Amino acid sequence: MELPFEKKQRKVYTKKESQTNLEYGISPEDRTITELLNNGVICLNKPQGPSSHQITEYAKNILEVGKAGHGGTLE
Amino acid sequence: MPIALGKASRVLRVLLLSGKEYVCLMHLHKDISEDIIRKELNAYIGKITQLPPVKSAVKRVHRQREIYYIDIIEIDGRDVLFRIGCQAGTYIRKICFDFGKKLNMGANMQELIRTKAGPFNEKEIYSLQDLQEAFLLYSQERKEKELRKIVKPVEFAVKHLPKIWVHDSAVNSICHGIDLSIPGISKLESDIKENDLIAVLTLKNELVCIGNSLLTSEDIIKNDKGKVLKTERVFLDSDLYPKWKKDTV
Repeated sequence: MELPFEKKQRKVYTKKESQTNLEYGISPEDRTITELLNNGVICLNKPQGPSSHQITEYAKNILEVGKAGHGGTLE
Repeated sequence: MPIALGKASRVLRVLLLSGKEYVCLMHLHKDISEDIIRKELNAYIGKITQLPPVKSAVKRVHRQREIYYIDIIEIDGRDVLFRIGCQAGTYIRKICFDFGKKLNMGANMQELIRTKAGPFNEKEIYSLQDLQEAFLLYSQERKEKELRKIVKPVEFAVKHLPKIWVHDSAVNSICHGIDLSIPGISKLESDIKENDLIAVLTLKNELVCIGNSLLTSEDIIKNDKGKVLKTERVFLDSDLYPKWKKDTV
Protein backbone atom coordinates (compact mmCIF):
# COMPACT_ATOMS: atom_id res chain seq x y z
CA MET A 1 0.00 0.00 0.00
CA GLU A 2 1.57 3.23 -1.12
CA LEU A 3 0.82 6.90 -0.69
CA PRO A 4 0.64 8.87 -3.97
CA PHE A 5 4.19 10.22 -3.73
CA GLU A 6 5.57 6.72 -3.11
CA LYS A 7 4.08 5.51 -6.37
CA LYS A 8 5.12 8.49 -8.43
CA GLN A 9 8.18 8.02 -10.64
CA ARG A 10 9.59 11.39 -11.67
CA LYS A 11 12.10 11.90 -14.45
CA VAL A 12 14.93 14.42 -14.13
CA TYR A 13 15.36 16.98 -16.91
CA THR A 14 18.44 19.11 -17.41
CA LYS A 15 17.64 22.73 -18.09
CA LYS A 16 21.21 23.95 -18.15
CA GLU A 17 24.23 21.82 -17.30
CA SER A 18 26.53 23.30 -14.65
CA GLN A 19 29.16 22.21 -12.13
CA THR A 20 29.14 22.89 -8.43
CA ASN A 21 32.22 24.29 -6.75
CA LEU A 22 33.42 22.06 -3.92
CA GLU A 23 35.00 24.97 -2.08
CA TYR A 24 31.70 25.87 -0.49
CA GLY A 25 28.66 24.00 0.76
CA ILE A 26 28.63 20.32 1.74
CA SER A 27 26.69 17.29 0.54
CA PRO A 28 24.26 15.83 3.09
CA GLU A 29 26.21 12.56 3.30
CA ASP A 30 29.52 14.33 4.04
CA ARG A 31 28.25 16.23 7.07
CA THR A 32 29.75 15.80 10.51
CA ILE A 33 27.69 14.48 13.41
CA THR A 34 27.69 17.98 14.91
CA GLU A 35 26.22 19.34 11.70
CA LEU A 36 23.58 16.61 11.68
CA LEU A 37 22.66 17.28 15.30
CA ASN A 38 22.10 20.94 14.49
CA ASN A 39 20.20 20.36 11.29
CA GLY A 40 18.81 16.85 11.19
CA VAL A 41 15.75 14.70 11.68
CA ILE A 42 15.04 11.51 13.59
CA CYS A 43 12.01 9.25 13.74
CA LEU A 44 11.24 7.74 17.13
CA ASN A 45 8.79 5.10 18.18
CA LYS A 46 6.50 6.96 20.53
CA PRO A 47 5.60 4.83 23.53
CA GLN A 48 2.16 5.23 25.06
CA GLY A 49 2.13 7.47 28.08
CA PRO A 50 4.51 10.39 27.69
CA SER A 51 3.39 13.18 25.37
CA SER A 52 5.11 14.00 22.07
CA HIS A 53 6.45 17.09 23.79
CA GLN A 54 8.01 15.01 26.58
CA ILE A 55 9.59 12.58 24.11
CA THR A 56 11.09 15.55 22.26
CA GLU A 57 12.52 16.81 25.55
CA TYR A 58 14.06 13.38 26.29
CA ALA A 59 15.61 13.27 22.81
CA LYS A 60 16.98 16.80 23.27
CA ASN A 61 18.62 15.79 26.54
CA ILE A 62 20.10 12.58 25.15
CA LEU A 63 21.59 14.34 22.14
CA GLU A 64 22.57 17.44 24.12
CA VAL A 65 21.03 19.78 21.56
CA GLY A 66 19.48 23.14 22.34
CA LYS A 67 16.54 23.06 20.00
CA ALA A 68 14.17 20.41 18.69
CA GLY A 69 10.59 20.20 17.54
CA HIS A 70 8.18 17.38 16.74
CA GLY A 71 6.05 16.80 13.70
CA GLY A 72 2.57 17.18 15.06
CA THR A 73 0.63 15.00 17.47
CA LEU A 74 -1.60 12.21 16.26
CA GLU A 75 -4.89 14.07 16.22
CA MET B 1 7.08 10.38 15.56
CA PRO B 2 9.37 12.65 13.56
CA ILE B 3 11.58 15.04 15.52
CA ALA B 4 13.63 17.78 13.91
CA LEU B 5 16.86 19.02 15.50
CA GLY B 6 18.13 22.59 15.57
CA LYS B 7 17.60 24.58 12.40
CA ALA B 8 15.77 21.65 10.83
CA SER B 9 12.64 22.36 12.90
CA ARG B 10 11.57 24.66 10.11
CA VAL B 11 11.07 21.57 7.95
CA LEU B 12 8.28 20.19 10.14
CA ARG B 13 5.71 22.27 8.31
CA VAL B 14 6.25 20.04 5.28
CA LEU B 15 5.11 17.04 7.30
CA LEU B 16 1.88 18.72 8.31
CA LEU B 17 1.02 18.93 4.63
CA SER B 18 2.16 15.40 3.72
CA GLY B 19 0.13 12.24 3.26
CA LYS B 20 -0.21 9.95 6.29
CA GLU B 21 -0.83 6.31 7.00
CA TYR B 22 -2.40 4.99 10.19
CA VAL B 23 -3.37 1.67 11.69
CA CYS B 24 -6.68 2.08 13.48
CA LEU B 25 -8.70 -0.12 15.77
CA MET B 26 -12.38 0.71 15.42
CA HIS B 27 -15.03 -0.63 17.76
CA LEU B 28 -18.58 -1.09 16.48
CA HIS B 29 -21.49 -0.82 18.88
CA LYS B 30 -23.60 -3.64 17.37
CA ASP B 31 -23.02 -6.91 15.55
CA ILE B 32 -23.00 -6.81 11.78
CA SER B 33 -21.75 -9.14 9.06
CA GLU B 34 -18.15 -8.97 7.94
CA ASP B 35 -19.20 -8.55 4.34
CA ILE B 36 -21.07 -5.35 5.11
CA ILE B 37 -18.15 -4.00 7.15
CA ARG B 38 -15.75 -4.69 4.28
CA LYS B 39 -18.03 -3.23 1.65
CA GLU B 40 -18.91 -0.08 3.59
CA LEU B 41 -15.37 0.61 4.80
CA ASN B 42 -13.90 0.20 1.33
CA ALA B 43 -16.49 2.69 0.10
CA TYR B 44 -14.45 5.37 1.89
CA ILE B 45 -11.59 5.03 -0.59
CA GLY B 46 -11.57 8.14 -2.79
CA LYS B 47 -12.82 11.63 -2.00
CA ILE B 48 -14.74 12.07 1.22
CA THR B 49 -16.23 15.06 3.00
CA GLN B 50 -15.82 15.40 6.73
CA LEU B 51 -16.55 17.90 9.44
CA PRO B 52 -13.58 18.19 11.84
CA PRO B 53 -14.40 16.96 15.37
CA VAL B 54 -15.54 19.43 18.03
CA LYS B 55 -12.15 19.14 19.71
CA SER B 56 -9.85 20.02 16.84
CA ALA B 57 -7.31 22.63 15.95
CA VAL B 58 -9.04 23.78 12.76
CA LYS B 59 -12.16 25.66 11.79
CA ARG B 60 -15.21 23.40 11.82
CA VAL B 61 -16.35 23.51 8.23
CA HIS B 62 -16.95 20.55 5.93
CA ARG B 63 -13.85 19.80 3.95
CA GLN B 64 -12.90 17.34 1.30
CA ARG B 65 -10.12 14.88 1.91
CA GLU B 66 -8.80 11.97 -0.12
CA ILE B 67 -8.49 8.43 1.21
CA TYR B 68 -5.85 6.70 -0.88
CA TYR B 69 -6.28 3.17 0.42
CA ILE B 70 -7.85 1.08 3.15
CA ASP B 71 -6.62 -2.39 4.03
CA ILE B 72 -8.69 -4.34 6.51
CA ILE B 73 -6.22 -6.34 8.58
CA GLU B 74 -8.63 -8.19 10.84
CA ILE B 75 -12.25 -8.24 11.89
CA ASP B 76 -12.98 -9.80 15.27
CA GLY B 77 -16.67 -9.47 16.09
CA ARG B 78 -17.20 -5.77 16.70
CA ASP B 79 -13.52 -4.85 16.45
CA VAL B 80 -12.14 -3.81 13.10
CA LEU B 81 -8.41 -3.32 12.60
CA PHE B 82 -7.46 -1.51 9.41
CA ARG B 83 -4.65 0.35 7.73
CA ILE B 84 -5.55 3.63 6.03
CA GLY B 85 -3.55 5.94 3.76
CA CYS B 86 -4.94 9.43 3.56
CA GLN B 87 -4.37 13.06 2.71
CA ALA B 88 -2.99 15.39 5.40
CA GLY B 89 -5.71 16.68 7.71
CA THR B 90 -7.98 13.63 7.59
CA TYR B 91 -9.53 12.82 10.96
CA ILE B 92 -9.60 9.06 11.50
CA ARG B 93 -11.67 9.40 14.68
CA LYS B 94 -14.29 11.07 12.51
CA ILE B 95 -14.16 8.27 9.94
CA CYS B 96 -14.97 5.77 12.70
CA PHE B 97 -17.78 7.94 14.05
CA ASP B 98 -19.28 8.52 10.60
CA PHE B 99 -18.96 4.82 9.78
CA GLY B 100 -21.04 3.93 12.84
CA LYS B 101 -23.61 6.53 11.94
CA LYS B 102 -23.87 5.23 8.40
CA LEU B 103 -24.56 1.71 9.68
CA ASN B 104 -27.10 3.05 12.22
CA MET B 105 -25.22 1.61 15.17
CA GLY B 106 -22.48 3.90 16.42
CA ALA B 107 -18.76 3.20 16.35
CA ASN B 108 -15.69 4.68 17.97
CA MET B 109 -11.97 4.78 17.49
CA GLN B 110 -10.35 2.57 20.07
CA GLU B 111 -6.68 2.95 19.18
CA LEU B 112 -4.65 4.75 16.57
CA ILE B 113 -1.01 4.59 15.57
CA ARG B 114 0.60 6.54 12.77
CA THR B 115 2.69 4.39 10.47
CA LYS B 116 3.71 6.99 7.86
CA ALA B 117 4.08 10.76 7.78
CA GLY B 118 5.51 11.88 4.46
CA PRO B 119 8.88 10.08 4.03
CA PHE B 120 8.93 8.84 7.63
CA ASN B 121 7.55 5.36 8.14
CA GLU B 122 7.28 2.58 10.68
CA LYS B 123 10.02 0.51 9.02
CA GLU B 124 12.66 2.94 10.17
CA ILE B 125 11.89 4.05 13.67
CA TYR B 126 14.04 3.92 16.75
CA SER B 127 13.41 3.89 20.47
CA LEU B 128 14.78 6.40 22.96
CA GLN B 129 17.05 3.56 24.16
CA ASP B 130 18.48 3.11 20.64
CA LEU B 131 19.11 6.84 20.53
CA GLN B 132 20.78 6.84 23.93
CA GLU B 133 23.07 3.91 23.05
CA ALA B 134 24.02 5.34 19.69
CA PHE B 135 24.81 8.71 21.24
CA LEU B 136 27.00 7.11 23.93
CA LEU B 137 28.93 5.13 21.30
CA TYR B 138 29.56 8.40 19.53
CA SER B 139 30.38 10.60 22.53
CA GLN B 140 32.48 8.06 24.47
CA GLU B 141 34.03 5.87 21.80
CA ARG B 142 33.83 8.14 18.76
CA LYS B 143 31.85 5.50 16.88
CA GLU B 144 29.51 7.36 14.56
CA LYS B 145 27.91 4.55 12.57
CA GLU B 146 24.91 3.87 14.80
CA LEU B 147 24.08 7.51 15.38
CA ARG B 148 24.30 8.21 11.64
CA LYS B 149 21.67 5.52 11.07
CA ILE B 150 19.24 7.36 13.36
CA VAL B 151 20.00 11.04 12.77
CA LYS B 152 19.34 11.90 9.15
CA PRO B 153 20.12 15.11 7.34
CA VAL B 154 17.28 17.63 6.99
CA GLU B 155 17.03 16.70 3.29
CA PHE B 156 15.48 13.36 4.30
CA ALA B 157 12.30 15.17 5.36
CA VAL B 158 11.72 16.56 1.85
CA LYS B 159 12.68 13.53 -0.20
CA HIS B 160 9.04 12.98 -1.18
CA LEU B 161 8.66 16.47 -2.68
CA PRO B 162 9.28 17.26 -6.36
CA LYS B 163 12.73 18.78 -6.76
CA ILE B 164 14.52 21.56 -8.58
CA TRP B 165 18.33 21.90 -8.57
CA VAL B 166 19.82 25.36 -8.93
CA HIS B 167 23.18 26.68 -10.13
CA ASP B 168 25.69 27.69 -7.46
CA SER B 169 25.25 31.30 -8.59
CA ALA B 170 21.52 31.28 -7.76
CA VAL B 171 21.87 29.87 -4.24
CA ASN B 172 22.80 32.97 -2.28
CA SER B 173 20.01 35.14 -3.73
CA ILE B 174 17.46 32.54 -2.66
CA CYS B 175 19.01 32.47 0.82
CA HIS B 176 18.51 36.23 0.91
CA GLY B 177 14.84 35.86 0.06
CA ILE B 178 14.79 36.37 -3.71
CA ASP B 179 12.31 34.07 -5.47
CA LEU B 180 13.83 31.59 -7.92
CA SER B 181 13.55 32.37 -11.65
CA ILE B 182 14.09 30.02 -14.60
CA PRO B 183 17.70 31.09 -15.38
CA GLY B 184 18.71 29.88 -11.91
CA ILE B 185 17.68 26.30 -12.69
CA SER B 186 20.10 23.52 -13.62
CA LYS B 187 17.84 20.45 -13.33
CA LEU B 188 14.23 19.74 -12.47
CA GLU B 189 11.89 16.81 -11.98
CA SER B 190 8.97 16.05 -14.25
CA ASP B 191 5.28 16.36 -13.40
CA ILE B 192 5.52 19.55 -11.34
CA LYS B 193 2.13 21.21 -11.26
CA GLU B 194 1.23 24.77 -10.32
CA ASN B 195 1.11 25.30 -6.57
CA ASP B 196 2.97 22.06 -5.75
CA LEU B 197 5.26 22.28 -2.74
CA ILE B 198 8.79 22.01 -4.17
CA ALA B 199 12.20 21.35 -2.60
CA VAL B 200 14.97 23.48 -4.08
CA LEU B 201 18.41 21.87 -3.83
CA THR B 202 21.96 22.85 -4.67
CA LEU B 203 23.91 20.63 -7.08
CA LYS B 204 25.40 19.06 -3.93
CA ASN B 205 21.86 18.14 -2.92
CA GLU B 206 21.71 20.57 -0.01
CA LEU B 207 18.22 21.83 0.78
CA VAL B 208 18.09 25.56 -0.05
CA CYS B 209 14.40 26.29 0.40
CA ILE B 210 10.88 25.01 -0.08
CA GLY B 211 8.24 26.94 -1.93
CA ASN B 212 5.08 26.70 -3.98
CA SER B 213 5.52 26.41 -7.72
CA LEU B 214 4.08 29.07 -9.98
CA LEU B 215 4.87 27.05 -13.13
CA THR B 216 4.68 23.47 -14.35
CA SER B 217 7.69 21.37 -15.40
CA GLU B 218 6.70 21.94 -19.06
CA ASP B 219 6.54 25.74 -18.54
CA ILE B 220 10.04 25.70 -17.08
CA ILE B 221 11.44 23.60 -19.93
CA LYS B 222 9.80 25.74 -22.65
CA ASN B 223 10.59 29.20 -21.30
CA ASP B 224 13.81 31.09 -20.59
CA LYS B 225 12.57 33.52 -18.00
CA GLY B 226 9.91 33.91 -15.36
CA LYS B 227 9.49 33.39 -11.66
CA VAL B 228 9.40 29.68 -10.77
CA LEU B 229 8.26 29.60 -7.21
CA LYS B 230 7.25 31.61 -4.21
CA THR B 231 9.75 30.81 -1.47
CA GLU B 232 8.05 29.66 1.67
CA ARG B 233 10.96 28.82 3.90
CA VAL B 234 14.73 29.07 3.52
CA PHE B 235 16.97 26.41 5.08
CA LEU B 236 20.46 27.12 3.89
CA ASP B 237 22.46 29.84 5.67
CA SER B 238 23.10 32.91 3.57
CA ASP B 239 26.60 33.75 2.34
CA LEU B 240 27.77 30.12 2.30
CA TYR B 241 27.59 30.38 -1.46
CA PRO B 242 29.15 33.32 -3.33
CA LYS B 243 27.22 36.39 -4.37
CA TRP B 244 25.77 36.38 -7.86
CA LYS B 245 27.97 38.08 -10.43
CA LYS B 246 26.91 39.09 -13.88
CA ASP B 247 27.92 36.67 -16.68
CA THR B 248 28.48 33.69 -14.42
CA VAL B 249 26.27 30.67 -14.17
